Amino acid sequence: MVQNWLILLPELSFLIYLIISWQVNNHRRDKTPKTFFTLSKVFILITIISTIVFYNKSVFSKVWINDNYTTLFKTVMYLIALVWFYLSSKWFLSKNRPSFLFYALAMVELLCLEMLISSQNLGLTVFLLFCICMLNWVLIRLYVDEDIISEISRLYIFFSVIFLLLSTGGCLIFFQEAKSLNYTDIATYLQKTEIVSFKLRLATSLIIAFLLFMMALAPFHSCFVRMVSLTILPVSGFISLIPPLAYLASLLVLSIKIFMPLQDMLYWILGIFGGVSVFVGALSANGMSNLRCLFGYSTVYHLGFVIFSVIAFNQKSLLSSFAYMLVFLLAMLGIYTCFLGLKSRGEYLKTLSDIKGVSVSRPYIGVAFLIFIFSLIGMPPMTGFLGLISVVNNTMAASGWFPIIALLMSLLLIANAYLQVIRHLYFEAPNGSFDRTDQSIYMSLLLNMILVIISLVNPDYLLKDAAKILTGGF
Amino acid sequence: MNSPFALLSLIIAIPFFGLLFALTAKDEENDEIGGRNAFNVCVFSIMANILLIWRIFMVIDEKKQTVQLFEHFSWLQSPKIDITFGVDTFALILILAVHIAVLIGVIGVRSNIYKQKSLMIFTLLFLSMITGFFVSADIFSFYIFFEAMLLPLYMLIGMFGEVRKQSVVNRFFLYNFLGAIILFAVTMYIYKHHGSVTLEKLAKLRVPKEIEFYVWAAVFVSFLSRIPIWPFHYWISSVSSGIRNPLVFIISSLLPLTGIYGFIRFLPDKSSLPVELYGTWINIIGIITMMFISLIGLINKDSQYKLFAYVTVYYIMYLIGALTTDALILMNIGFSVFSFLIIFAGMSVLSGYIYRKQESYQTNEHGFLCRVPRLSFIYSYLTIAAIGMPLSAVFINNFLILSKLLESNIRMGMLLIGTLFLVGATLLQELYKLKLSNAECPISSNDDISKKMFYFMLFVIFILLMSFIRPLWFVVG
Repeated sequence: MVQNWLILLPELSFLIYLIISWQVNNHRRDKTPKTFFTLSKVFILITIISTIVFYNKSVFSKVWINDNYTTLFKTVMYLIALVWFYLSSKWFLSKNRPSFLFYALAMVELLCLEMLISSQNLGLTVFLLFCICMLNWVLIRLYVDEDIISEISRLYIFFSVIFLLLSTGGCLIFFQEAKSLNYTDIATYLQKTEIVSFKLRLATSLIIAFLLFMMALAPFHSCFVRMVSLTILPVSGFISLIPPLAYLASLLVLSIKIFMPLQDMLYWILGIFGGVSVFVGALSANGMSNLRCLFGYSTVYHLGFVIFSVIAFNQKSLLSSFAYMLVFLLAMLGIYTCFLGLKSRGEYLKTLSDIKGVSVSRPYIGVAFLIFIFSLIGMPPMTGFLGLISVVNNTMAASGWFPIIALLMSLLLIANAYLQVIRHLYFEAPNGSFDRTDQSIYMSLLLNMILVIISLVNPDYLLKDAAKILTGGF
Repeated sequence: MNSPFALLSLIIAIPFFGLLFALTAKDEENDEIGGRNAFNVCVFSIMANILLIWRIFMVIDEKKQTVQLFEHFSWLQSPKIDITFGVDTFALILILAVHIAVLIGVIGVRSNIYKQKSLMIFTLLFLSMITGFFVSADIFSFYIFFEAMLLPLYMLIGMFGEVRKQSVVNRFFLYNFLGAIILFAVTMYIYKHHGSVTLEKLAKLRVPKEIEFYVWAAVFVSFLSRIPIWPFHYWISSVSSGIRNPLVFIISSLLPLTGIYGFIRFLPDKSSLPVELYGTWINIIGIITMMFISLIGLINKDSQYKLFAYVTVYYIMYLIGALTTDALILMNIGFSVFSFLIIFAGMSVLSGYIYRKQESYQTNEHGFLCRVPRLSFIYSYLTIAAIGMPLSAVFINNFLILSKLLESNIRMGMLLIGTLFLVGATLLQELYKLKLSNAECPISSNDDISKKMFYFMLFVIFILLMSFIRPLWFVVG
């Protein structure tokens, strides 16, 4: 009994955090964003430790399980969340806004994401995805005028409900056919079925579509991009940096473990969504003058790119997708840290013209921007090259030359969009004055860059254990 | 032979560490003594590297034409990628020449105060990357450095190139990036079928007949993207001919060298139909490009364009020579390029100096060199050496390259000599303009180069003279 409670410690710690932070919010007078960050930090650290300690123990093993694979994804997600929570506290301090709600919602979302990674039941997966939608819906409205956000929040909730209904329909079809929603049962049923019926194929597509919507792949990307550009910076960073890793983990489990017999169909579905996302993301990023929109579209591009590794449907897909995602998230975290370091008269900078001449006024932020942007392009000697080579190598082995040529050509398009940012940072004269940048921003950037340099010189330092875990499969 | 003390890694690392030092230097951008610390770090790093390169010449057997001093690293486990560094005499000569050329450029911009720190940082990064490119002995490190050098180059041209339209700089980058992406595809193809092979083995690999035309087309396009040859010339010429900062001009003019070196490393040891076919086309297009560029150089009044025309014509000549894959010719190209890079670096610095002076006096009058004896002597020497007179290794080695080309195709050889004659006339025309006596020229003896600079350039001349007497004169023991 006690052992079971201990195994549930990662999940329980999120709930305990909620109770304590609620108490603190109600009863403590001198509460600051730092208070809530410290609380979240403690509980995330407890979660990380307990996740690693009980990496292969599960209580409700029919509904969700913990293993090497889930532990790896969860640990990386928690670490990124920890860093982002720390940086977000700087935003709340600077803006003098209460942060209780943000941290509480983000912690609940982390709980949902963590369960999504471990989920072993289609019903639970769909339910968790809808919960995440609801949490995102609340998060995006935090401290944003109702007039500005109302349209997009309505659209987002509308699509969420539609996808919930569709994927519930998919679950019902599976329940009707396989008499269970458990992943193992469905996988066994599909393997035994010689010819998979149209109904089952439709059900699979509906469930996968919900995940693709959550991953903001084109043509479901417009809500995500607008959310990223309109919400406050902590929320924008949170929804760009943290959930994609969990979605990817879930997509990999579903496409490689559960729906393996439907590979031929999934290949085309994911390939088309990935391909469209890559080109829509890259082309749209080129037309953006709003920085967060530009990087929102670039997120769509990179998530589309990673899909090409998934469609190889082999054990290497796990490692290559993870490697790409990891280096992408490191670079994106760096970009968002730079956003937090760029202020003028108390306002965080949003457009390309705002960042003119940053390299002169804030040279270290300029250098960081440069490193992270070139990493996103996948250019050696930056870490992005590791991700690029992993995906291209795996895609080439599985899909041949056509997707490779398309992917490499799309790199040119996205590179052009990124060059606009570099041009404004370095080649244009400063537009105005910039506020003093917090030392902690510099420290975060330095740590991120050290990680980039270490992983560049010795990439196995970053990926060796991940490779061991992921090549072992599920 | 394995490299003692990881010498090859060291010559890549030293400019990189110099960069980190320069980055943390307490220099304010754009102030009166702006970037002096970064400048000193840069000069020190280059000098240290030159010493190390000299040491490497002592370690290797310079008569051997195979790659020596291997260094192996296991870089990535999945996909399995091993990195190998190695160097032969040809590559080492190029590394030394590049270092000396960049050092001349750095000395030439010592009085610059505009973003000097950034200039030094990106110069060191470029030097580190191009050194890595020349010591690469396997396909992956070769590709990594081939692409990586674009980053500092783009930043240097964007910040200091004074190109009027920034979109031109972006297109220049994208165009070169496209070449690098094509090479990446080729690299991945080779990796898929043969693993992480060394460049020596690469020459012996046989491409399946059904795809060999595509593979070689990709290889040719990727390397030609670095060389200002028609139809790939526009973005390079539009950027290079407008650069007024001598150091950035020198660095941007080193880019075609990487394309030529790529051909030398990738071309197969046994001739194949696609290589012969593409090679013939490059010979034809190359000669036409040389003729056009040398004619435009002769007509154009801009001294920078004349220098650009000279550099381009010589690079295409080296490319045509490299396509013969004759080992003796390749060695002569190495010796010739050594002097050629030093000469054009010196000329770029002096042309930049003259341009700045003319700009400060707001004059473009003839006779600039009449009242500045030190500058006049150095500039005249470099011009005469540049056109192939017996003052540097360019003379004898070009003679040998041309004789080989004449032997293989007399018409092509004659046309080539004609273009060299034209481009030589272009440089002499510029020298004549600068030396033509003119009473109205406002330049006085005070505008001459400093004594320090004069002695430095005398040392450069000494290197050129010695290389004429014996190309590897500095190798002792």
